[in-house]
Amino acid sequence: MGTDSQVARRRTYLDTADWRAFQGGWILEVDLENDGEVPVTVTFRDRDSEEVLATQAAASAPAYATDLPKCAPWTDLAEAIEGRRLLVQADTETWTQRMAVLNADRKTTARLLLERHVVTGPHDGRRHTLRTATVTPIRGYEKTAERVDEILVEAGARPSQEALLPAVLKLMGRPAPASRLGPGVPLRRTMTAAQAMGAILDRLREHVVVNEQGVREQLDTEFLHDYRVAIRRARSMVRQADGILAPAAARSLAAELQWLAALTGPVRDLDVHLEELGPAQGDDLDPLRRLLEGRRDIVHAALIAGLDSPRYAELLESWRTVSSAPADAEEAPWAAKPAGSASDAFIARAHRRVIRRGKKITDDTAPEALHDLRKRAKELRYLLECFQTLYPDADRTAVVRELKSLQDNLGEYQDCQVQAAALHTMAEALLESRAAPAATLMAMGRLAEEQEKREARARHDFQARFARFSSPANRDRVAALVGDLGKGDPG
Amino acid sequence: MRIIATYSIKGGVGKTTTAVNLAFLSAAEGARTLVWDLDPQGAATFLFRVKPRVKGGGKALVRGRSEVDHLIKGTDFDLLDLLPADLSYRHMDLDLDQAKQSTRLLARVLAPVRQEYDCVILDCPPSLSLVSESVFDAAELVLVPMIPSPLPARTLDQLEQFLKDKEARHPSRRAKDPKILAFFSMVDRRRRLHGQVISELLASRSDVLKSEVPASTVFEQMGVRRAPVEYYAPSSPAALAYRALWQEVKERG
Repeated sequence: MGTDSQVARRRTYLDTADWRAFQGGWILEVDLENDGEVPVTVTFRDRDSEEVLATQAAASAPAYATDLPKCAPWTDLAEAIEGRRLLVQADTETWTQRMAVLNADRKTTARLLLERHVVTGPHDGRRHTLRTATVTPIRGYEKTAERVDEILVEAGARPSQEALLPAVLKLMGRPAPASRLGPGVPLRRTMTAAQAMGAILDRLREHVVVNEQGVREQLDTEFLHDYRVAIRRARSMVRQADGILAPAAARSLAAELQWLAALTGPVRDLDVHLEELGPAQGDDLDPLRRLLEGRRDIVHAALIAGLDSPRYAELLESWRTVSSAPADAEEAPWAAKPAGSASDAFIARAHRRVIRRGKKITDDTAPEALHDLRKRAKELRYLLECFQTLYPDADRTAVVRELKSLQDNLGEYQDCQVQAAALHTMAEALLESRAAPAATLMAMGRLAEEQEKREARARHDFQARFARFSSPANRDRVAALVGDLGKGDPG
Repeated sequence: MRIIATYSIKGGVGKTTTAVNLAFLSAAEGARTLVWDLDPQGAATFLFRVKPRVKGGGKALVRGRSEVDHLIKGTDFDLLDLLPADLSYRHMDLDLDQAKQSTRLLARVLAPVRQEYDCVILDCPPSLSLVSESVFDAAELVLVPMIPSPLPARTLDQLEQFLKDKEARHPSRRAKDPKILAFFSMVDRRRRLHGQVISELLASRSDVLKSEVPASTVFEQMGVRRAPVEYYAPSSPAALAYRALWQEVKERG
């Protein structure tokens, strides 16, 4: 065996926080020179075959889809990433040793590439080591390579055909990216309701923690969106799961989650307004964009102050411990019962609430009733999502489909109302500060008018959507999912 | 696929050294390169540390009974492969003589791997024979190393005459003759005669390349190191000379 070189290579794996490249079947790598200097090489691979689809020299690692080359196949990747920030998901330093298998004439009869990958996780900074070996046959001496391969497999070396990234992630103690998405934690119907709720709340807390850095650094707007979705889900679960958690601990956590939702709300509202306006393009709406961006900076600073406060640290701590807070059977009658029957009962109750309130709405009902119905529909949706692993996929998605259709309608109605009202308020502010020409105010007027038209359309469509949701056929679907709706009502 | 032969009527003039070093340079540039060691002595095969054995021998190979694909060996260098020598090649003249269209057989042997290589270098045995004729039929370019002695021009003339006679022997065949380019090898500039011969020939003939390969102890080490000079002495004058020669071959060949 002869050795001829050992080189170090630094490679980072990039992906969005929600692993869009990986989900799309791709891997995005950035190779840095030994000294970490520019330029870098960006490589775009097929996730499963590891085949290189494209490679590109660049001055620095890409941060957004807009930094990728504007040609195929990069455009497929850019489309999947959308506006999300590319983050370093793993950082590997690889030491390569090339060896040759020699015969009696000192002729090379196979090549052996031994690699030692030192992997650093982005969150915990812990270092792990992974060793791989790749055998390359030499023409006319294939049997030697086969034998060496056998020896390596016997010795437990990682087969060279396996994609490196999943092995790297496993090594870092992180679940495979595919299982990281969504609130669905593995649950069993026979586990206790308290255990199931603990697992769900832990997962949601993890979502908040994972997205926090992106919220602080404003990497992209999706971090805050995902962060807030996790808060809303947790709040909804804590409030709806009465009878599972210790009431005092649950009440206190729900109140703190409400505080956190309120703290993050203003930034999200401004993100939505800015997204509606689209990027700056030198048009009449630019003064409005500047106004909104200025406001956003102010509310973001307030958000950071909140995240730095002891109150936030305490909230995360109480979130971690709420499911293990002691509760007696009288206070929490569902805690020790099977998760399956608890979940059935909660979903059935939430469904009944939506039906009951929806039925009361007529064309003359005040908008607030529709807003309230939207909240109830969300509660039902969160239950269906958080307890999803207890139900067969097909049955659950059938119920979610009709619910989503109703939610879309209610969402459109409320969003348009909020947007139109906000435009009116902002127009007044601009007028008062004389910060915008008349053209801007007129353009805003047109936007508000458009929102009002959409709002009217949504209101008009509501009855038909609700009729479908509350139809006997759809009620049967819910009954198929959670059993007899009359049974096990906890409240 | 480009086929280049290193050929000389005389032995010991640096044919194998040239074949091995130019093949290495070709592969180093990224061209998939094959050396076919046609000399039964197997010097190129020895330099690449490969056993001088071809399953079935030369006869089966030229008669198309062995698949060339299975006989090729990878060398220690990326993109550089070898079709080894075999002692039975000493009867290759006879094997070719018994076959139909004998001069076309070497080209036919290489046909199955045509897509696999960008460059094939034939290291030929020293003689004027049916094997040489077959080499001239297969190659586009014949590189002739010459020691700067008083008679090198005669060797070149002999070669040209041989090609003319070949046409006369096979009037029905209109195979295109290869381009012949000679160059000086084992040059010792301290010897006046060498300088004189080189100047005269360069002045009188257009088929002699300007690059010259010096006599050097670095070449003697090839047999011990069993590798091209570029590999173990890349900054030696010997290595520089082959780099210049390869450049000129690419420009003029």
